[in-house]
Amino acid sequence: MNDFESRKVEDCFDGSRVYEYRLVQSTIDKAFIKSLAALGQLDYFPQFPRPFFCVRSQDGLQLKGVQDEQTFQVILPSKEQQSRKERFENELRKILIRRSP
Amino acid sequence: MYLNNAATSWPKAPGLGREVAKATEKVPFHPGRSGFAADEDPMAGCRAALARLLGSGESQRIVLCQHATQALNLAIQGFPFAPGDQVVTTALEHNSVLRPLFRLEERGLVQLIIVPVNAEGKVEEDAFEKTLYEHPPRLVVVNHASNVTGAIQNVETLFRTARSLGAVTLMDASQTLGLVDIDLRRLGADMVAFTGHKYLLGPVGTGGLYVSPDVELEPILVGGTGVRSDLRDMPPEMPGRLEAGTPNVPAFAGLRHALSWQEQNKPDRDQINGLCRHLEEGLVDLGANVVRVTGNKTPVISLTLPGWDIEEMGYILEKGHGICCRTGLHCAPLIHRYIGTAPTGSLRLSLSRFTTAAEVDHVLDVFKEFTPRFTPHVLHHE
Repeated sequence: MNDFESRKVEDCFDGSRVYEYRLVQSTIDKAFIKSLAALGQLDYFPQFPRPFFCVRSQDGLQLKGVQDEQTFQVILPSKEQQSRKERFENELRKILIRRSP
Repeated sequence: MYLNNAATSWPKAPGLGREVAKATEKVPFHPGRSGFAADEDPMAGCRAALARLLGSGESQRIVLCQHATQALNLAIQGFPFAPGDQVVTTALEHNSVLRPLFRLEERGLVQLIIVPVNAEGKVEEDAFEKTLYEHPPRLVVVNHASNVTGAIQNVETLFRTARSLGAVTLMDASQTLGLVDIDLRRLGADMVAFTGHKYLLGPVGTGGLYVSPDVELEPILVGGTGVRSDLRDMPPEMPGRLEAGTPNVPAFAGLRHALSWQEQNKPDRDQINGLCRHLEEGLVDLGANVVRVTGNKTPVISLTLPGWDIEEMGYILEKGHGICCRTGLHCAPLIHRYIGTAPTGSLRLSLSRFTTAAEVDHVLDVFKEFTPRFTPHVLHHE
């Protein structure tokens, strides 16, 4: 069984780069958010009742989400989208494997 | 909490769902194709109520459509342009107007002139008039109210000059019908396009176009009408000439119900405007760049917040607080360069007659968490 699912999200601009990811078996907790720092600069906003976080990688991948949700959103860089998506998903798999009991 | 009423209203008119369900479950009614009494015809009921709402005595000149987009396409693509015709429109228009016009322009069928707007999203009357004299148009298209800033245009003045030059006038009332009193004779509108699912509080999949008896449109969709089936072309009678195909009767039964409910329960615009002003002022106090509008407006607020990406703000509001709003260009791509929200657009909050003071205060409390932009915790991987 996959640890996550993804689907394209339409938005006001070029929606082809925007994906929503859903963790199938868990919700987004603080440990998971911290582990996303492996992808780039992670900003965490604990002041909100449900803390918001975002990650910006050096090559332009952006990720954002809210703690205790099951979903988060990823905007891929405009270049080499398919290969970058595959690379991100590999990184996500590793993160999920590391945090599994 | 729902603050996306400029996209589609919610809640709808009380009892709407039951009406749609009832119309779905009863023996199908096909307008023009059966002998049922006229008062059972939801389409006729809609036309009559819409004629009253628009201040028109000509219900047969109201063409029922699936949405304002279809109505605007019919008005623009069905318009009998001649070579060399000019069309004047404005930078505040929705893509439902701009895209049909861009297509006609690209095919060399019209010359398109777009009049800029000011920082409030309003058309300056002098600039508009000057353009009309420089480019005497065959057709003028103006949005009654911006779906981005809420600014209500002085259509009466804009159309007066246009008509004096012989132009046909088309008003997009998507953001106003059901909220703002419209008298199409006073406004000088030859055609009015509208949707049923915004401030009319009806279901999605409903809308329409009023067409003055002085304007002859060509159908852009042809096919069965249930009458005059022996003809090779669409029958000449209105509104059937412009209404090919079986309509979504249950949806129009819902719209008829919503129109009837609205007639009995007029919106309290003072109350809505008061809440909108309170929200605007509160947001400004919290440091938001609100696109302020002087004079008449709909309850729509566009804003940006220094240091914040609007997409992130929208995400936090929706996922973190359950506040449904809208971010981006709002399908009106040209206005943003004039109101200071280009290139990414704005965060839009749009109220309705059902929005409460407690909800507005809650939104302001939530925005306090955004401002000032606090330094995030930079978390490091452990």
